Parts: sequence; C-alpha cells; structure tokens
Amino acid sequence: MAWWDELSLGIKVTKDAAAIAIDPSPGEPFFTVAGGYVRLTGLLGYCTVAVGGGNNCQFTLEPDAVGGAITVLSTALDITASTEGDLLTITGDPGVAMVGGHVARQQMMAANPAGVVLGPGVIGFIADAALGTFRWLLWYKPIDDVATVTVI
Amino acid sequence: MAWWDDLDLGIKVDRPAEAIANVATPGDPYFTIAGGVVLLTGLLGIITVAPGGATSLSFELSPTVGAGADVVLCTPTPITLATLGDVITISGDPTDALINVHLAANLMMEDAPNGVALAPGILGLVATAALGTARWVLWYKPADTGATVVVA
Repeated sequence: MAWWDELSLGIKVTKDAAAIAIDPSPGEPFFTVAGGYVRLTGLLGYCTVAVGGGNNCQFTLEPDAVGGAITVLSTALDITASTEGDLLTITGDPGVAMVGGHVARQQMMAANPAGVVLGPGVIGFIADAALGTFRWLLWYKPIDDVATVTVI
Repeated sequence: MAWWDDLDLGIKVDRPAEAIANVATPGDPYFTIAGGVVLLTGLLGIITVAPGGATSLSFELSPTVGAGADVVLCTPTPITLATLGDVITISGDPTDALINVHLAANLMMEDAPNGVALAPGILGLVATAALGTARWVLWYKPADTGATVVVA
C-alpha cells in the first residue's frame, strides 16, 4: 500500500454500467475483497437507464471464511423512482436502507465517515427485478497492507 | 486528476463578491459541475455587504440530464442577521437549514465529512430578496476522472 492510498476516500474502483439482474441473497457478485481487511469509505451508483418499476435492492458481504455469515451493508430500498443521472448510495449503517430516489445529490457515508470494515469476501447486489442500469464507484482503504478490492 | 487534488478538501473554486439577486428555483447559476460526478466537500459564503432585511437563501442542484429533478442542498433560511464578515455554509444534510446568523465562525460539512456526491448540473442560489452581497468559496473532489466544478 502506498501512502497516497490513504488520502481522501482512498482507492477508487469503478464498475461499468450494467443492467441490474434479479439476484436473491447473497446477490450478484460486484466486487471482491481479498488479501485482508479493508475500510469501505464510499459506494455510489449512477443511474444510466431509468428503473421504471418496483425493484428492491441492497448490498451484502459474503465472507470467504468458512462459517462466515452473509451480512447486509444496508437494508433494502425500492429504487423505482431513479432515472438517468440519479445517485444511489449507502449511509454506512447496515440498519438503514440504501439512499436513493429521483435525486442527483447524496451524502457520502453520512453515518460512518471513517468507513465500514469488511473482511475478505464478495460484495453482492441483491435485486428482486431486472430493471434499471447503474454504473458504480467504490472507494476503500486497506487495513491489512495487501488487502484489495477489485471489480468482478 | 492529480494526487494533490485529493488532499484536504480537494480543489478550491472562488466566486468573487456580488450582490445576491432575487431568483426563484432553481436559483441564480453559481457553479457548473461537468464531466462526471463530484464530491462537494465545502461551500462557504462570506458576507461583504449586510442584507439589512429579510431574505431567505438555499442552494439547489439542477441536473444536466433532461429527466433530472432539481434537488436542494439545504432548506431555505433567512440571512437577515448576517453582516460584514459573517459566514454562511451548509451542513451537508439536505434537510438542514443553511447555517448562518450573525456569526463569523461555522462548522464545515458537519453532517457529510466525506462530501456530498453531485451529478453534473448547475448549482444555483435561490434567494427571496435582492439584499446583501457575498463572496463564495467551494471545495470539491472529482469522483469521476475529469469531473470539474467551475464558476458559472
């Protein structure tokens, strides 16, 4: 890890726009956390195609460790209202719904500005409808020196 | 984006002092966000001529995308008490009032220390009366590579 990886929100990982697919828990694999623990400091979705119907979504972490429990990063949000240019994010509090709607402005990790600690595993996206297209920006800081997050 | 753009609050944009105009939603265009999503990390107004009467201010983002909805960055708030040298700012929580009164000290983005994500568009100042003069200082970090904020 270079010293500049600690600047600001840390290392940025981008996931190109892709249509949302129907995936129950633990969700469609979006990002891999590997090599150790990280602090998730930002997770932002940018809508490129309007959702146009009911679609309850949330993020999860499925740990690599045998016996690890799938944990949610937020509770589910119906993202029906999102159209092109709107933003979707999480607060950092797993007991709070994803934050979205027909809005092009979002607070970043308002409930947890220091970041959410994640162990090695797969960050998945649960959706109950194949509606809408989003691209994604994720920021993280390694806790363990060789920990990484990569797009799947 | 250079690595130093990620230091501290990021890139500073100054808008010179000018009289506040009476402009309804989406407001007097103050800053233009282009090229992608940015993280707004600070927004300060410094009073150079006292309003001397009742006027309420708020900031709005009018997204560039045709179907985008205007969204507020704060709720409208009277700045009647502000005089020369007083400081106006936002908390980062869009449901909070603009932060001001007769104060020359203010907290910076207390409810969004990681910034507020903004999609491309125009950041406008809504005012209910043509009273007072202020200069403005904005800080941001590009979320998408190449995203910028400039004075409108």
